[in-house]
Amino acid sequence: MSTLDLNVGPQHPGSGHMRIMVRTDGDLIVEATPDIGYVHRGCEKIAESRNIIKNIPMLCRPNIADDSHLNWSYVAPIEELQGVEVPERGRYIRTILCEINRIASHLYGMSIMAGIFSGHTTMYMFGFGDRELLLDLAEMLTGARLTFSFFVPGGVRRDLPKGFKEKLLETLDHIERRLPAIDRIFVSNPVFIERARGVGILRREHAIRLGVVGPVVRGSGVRCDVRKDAPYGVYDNVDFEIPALKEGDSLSRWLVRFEEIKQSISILRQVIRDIPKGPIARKSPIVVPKGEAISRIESSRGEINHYIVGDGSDKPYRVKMNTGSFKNLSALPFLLKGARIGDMPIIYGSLDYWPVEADR
Amino acid sequence: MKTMSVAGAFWEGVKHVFKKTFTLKHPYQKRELPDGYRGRHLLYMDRCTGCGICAWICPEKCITLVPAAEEKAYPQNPEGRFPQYWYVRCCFCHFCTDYCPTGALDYTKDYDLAEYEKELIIWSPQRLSKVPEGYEGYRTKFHGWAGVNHVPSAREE
Amino acid sequence: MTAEHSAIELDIAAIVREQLGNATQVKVDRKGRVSVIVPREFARDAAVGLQRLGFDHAIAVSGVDYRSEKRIEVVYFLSSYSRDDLTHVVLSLKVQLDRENPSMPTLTAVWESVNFFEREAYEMFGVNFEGHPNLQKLLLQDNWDGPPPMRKDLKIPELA
Repeated sequence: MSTLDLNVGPQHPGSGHMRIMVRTDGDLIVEATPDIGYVHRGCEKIAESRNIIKNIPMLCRPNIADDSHLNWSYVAPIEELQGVEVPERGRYIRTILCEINRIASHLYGMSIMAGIFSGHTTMYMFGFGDRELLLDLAEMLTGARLTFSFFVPGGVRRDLPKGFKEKLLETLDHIERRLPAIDRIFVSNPVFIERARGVGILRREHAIRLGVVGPVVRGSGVRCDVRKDAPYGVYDNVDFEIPALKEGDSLSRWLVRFEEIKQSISILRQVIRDIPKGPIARKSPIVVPKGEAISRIESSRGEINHYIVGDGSDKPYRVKMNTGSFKNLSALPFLLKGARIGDMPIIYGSLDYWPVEADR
Repeated sequence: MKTMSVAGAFWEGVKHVFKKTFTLKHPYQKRELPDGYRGRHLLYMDRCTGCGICAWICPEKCITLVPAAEEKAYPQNPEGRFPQYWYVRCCFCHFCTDYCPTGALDYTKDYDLAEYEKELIIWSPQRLSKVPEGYEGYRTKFHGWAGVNHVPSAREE
Repeated sequence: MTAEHSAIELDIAAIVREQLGNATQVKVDRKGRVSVIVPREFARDAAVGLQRLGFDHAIAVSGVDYRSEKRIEVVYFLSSYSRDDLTHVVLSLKVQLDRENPSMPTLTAVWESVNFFEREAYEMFGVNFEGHPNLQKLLLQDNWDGPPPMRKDLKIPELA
């Protein structure tokens, strides 16, 4: 048997830079090795030489489509070490921004997989067009469309502006009206189902063994979500469900994201209805006390952890970031083995791998 | 039925032919930017004391304090030092604006900052203090967190 | 320290102390955070014991360089998929290694997900994981010949 070594090179349409070295026998993939590190910037090393506020924009940049979760995960251990408690209104505002970001990020991921990686641009245009309204909302709240840097240790930087509540409810109504259109073109369409059903099956025991997180593990039947397991923010005050499907193929992972958008819309409606009045931030000194702390936040691609070791100065002694994409990387060589070349974009897209987040 | 589902998908696409697009034909049509948009900075020279907190908090070290050659003396700024911005490095996080203790910096909606010459991308304090056309001032209407100051928020019903 | 913590963390601490013996130090830091410190010879047995207890999800692996105390610590953060009462707990398994020659047995056979995490700790701190199936650079470029970057010896220039 003679095999061919293919280089699915660092430049891809629709994804960041990472390389997959693929060994194929005809059309079947025999072995796939990911080669990452093309966008490694050394965030953790740089973070040790800057004070904790200066680190905020840099440590939010690894995932620009999902920036508020990275931000929350960075300031949470600092608040824990300092003993500062975020006031209730601040936590509600944080949850609002995070859920807006989750819907926007899921629309991004779904558009890339069902659109660009399937070879057309319909879903791409649908998803990104609706995502613009969410970015407009975020711009109204924070001043920036993508990289907000909105959370600081102790709270948030700005309060909700006038007219935000009405605009938010209007946007949510619009997205809810668009979801059946996406359903008709993609979820119920046998052409797309043929492309994604039964492709890249990750069974439950393999998912647990490989340690994957986020929609990837929920598409394999494990109902694991930090928002329910270890609630933070206001997630213990709102009613929502964790969708989980048991087939474990690419279509299930895509459908889990589709259902999560609906759940996020419901969370947002409850949060904006119940938000209390009060201060948005507490004073917090620019110092990291001695000690260590770890945070767990559920971002749209999985669980993010920040481990911060403090030594009493204004700079952190050690910042370790572990993001959802880096944890899901171990599923990629496992799923590609035995698949066909034509299925590779769908499998890669269903994992929603964000290279910059994995490389930091 | 498979044919019906495929037909339904096609019909959904055909419906879009008759819908209005929401593409903005930039630069002939411009977006309406919200208040508090993070554009370039506006310096109020009669409030700046030259303390240097903006330069200290800037993540990209794009702010330097320079002596601004002025005949008018600013009594609150004894050394006559004002911030100068190197916009190539600025990431528009506006921590400088939020942390300024006297409120001498403000947000504007200018984002079109590209220049043909390298030297022009460094904005002197005088250039920063030119108020853009039609600008009412963000800080004068809204107060945010304001870092060191903790000005209480006066927004939302 | 005891009154605020719910019973489950104290139970875990007691079971771990009993199973792993005197070589380990177990501490409940706060709600949902338990830390276990082991010397390198005991790392493998501690890992197997913890996995049998229900900690089957390795969420992160981090190295920390304590230069002034002349040690490198490799911390494994563990949680659980299968046991509902343990899903909110993060157990830090800290393995203390000598800074001159940090080397410890790999835990890939216990949790397969630490494969890539240990590769990162290897290239960033210089820790040798004995028995790792593929100990190569992951994030750094192939021709990197300097010292392990995350150690405190390597100073990066201040942004001018």
